[in-house]
Amino acid sequence: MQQFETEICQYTENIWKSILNLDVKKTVEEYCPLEGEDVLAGCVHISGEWQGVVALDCPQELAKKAASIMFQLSEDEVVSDLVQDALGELTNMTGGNLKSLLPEPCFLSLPAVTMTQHGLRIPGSELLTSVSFQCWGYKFRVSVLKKLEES
Amino acid sequence: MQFLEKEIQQYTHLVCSILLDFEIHPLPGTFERSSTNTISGSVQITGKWNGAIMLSLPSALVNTLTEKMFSLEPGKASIEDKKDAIGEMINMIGGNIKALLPDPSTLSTPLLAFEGHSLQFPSTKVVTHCHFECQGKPFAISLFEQVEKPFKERLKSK
Repeated sequence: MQQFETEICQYTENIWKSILNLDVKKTVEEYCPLEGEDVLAGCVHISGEWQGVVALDCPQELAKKAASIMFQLSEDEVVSDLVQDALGELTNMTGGNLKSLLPEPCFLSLPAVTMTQHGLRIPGSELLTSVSFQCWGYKFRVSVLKKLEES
Repeated sequence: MQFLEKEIQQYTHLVCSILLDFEIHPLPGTFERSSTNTISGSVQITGKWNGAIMLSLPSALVNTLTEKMFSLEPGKASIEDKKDAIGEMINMIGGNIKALLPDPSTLSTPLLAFEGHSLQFPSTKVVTHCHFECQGKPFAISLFEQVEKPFKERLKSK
């Protein structure tokens, strides 16, 4: 099992249930966006005694649904700013929970969000753990990347 | 003048000059972000001051800077090379700016977005936007500062 995999599953299920009242389940099928598919990617940096990134990638449609639930609006009323806010908050909560597992002291950055077809790129870091989830007919992914030691 | 505008101009000039031996010149107005052609790199500052610094450039300028930094032939810069080049630039500029901000604060690893989709920072506002020209092409440095209003309050106001 990958490092933090159990905790990622637990925290992700809890966050999506408590904030959105949505059931999410880990899936063995990896989330692989289709060619040209727009993915909304959110990430928070953790710095200090441990350095790296917690990232949340999901299809734009799922992010839009999450935003409509979070802000109690219809999907037509949800504008891109709110979708980014929603994904930023989900990423922030996921990262905040995982930070509590890391050596102290560590600091959590503000979330960054972007629409991407290829994923956010984080030079000088390596993928530690990636867990895919299923929700409402969509898949999404939570990843933890660790900063590489400088040689 | 915008917050730290003069210092951002100075440090950006310094980094481009030392790292690349390129001159830059301030431009008026704002950088026109392209949906397909803009590449963004950012670092985040966390601690006594919270926000982000973002570097936005057209892909042609990214190629030029990368080729210069790694002494590559035109057209030979890989995606990994570009990641490293832009990451290094924003890391240096961000590190210099962080030194001007309230302590203690930490600097994150760089974050890059390709394909022209700009990085967004929910819960922040743009406090400074500096527009430049380098090798005949425009680019920009933007400083985002965390807004005071916590997410839950914004949630209630929607």
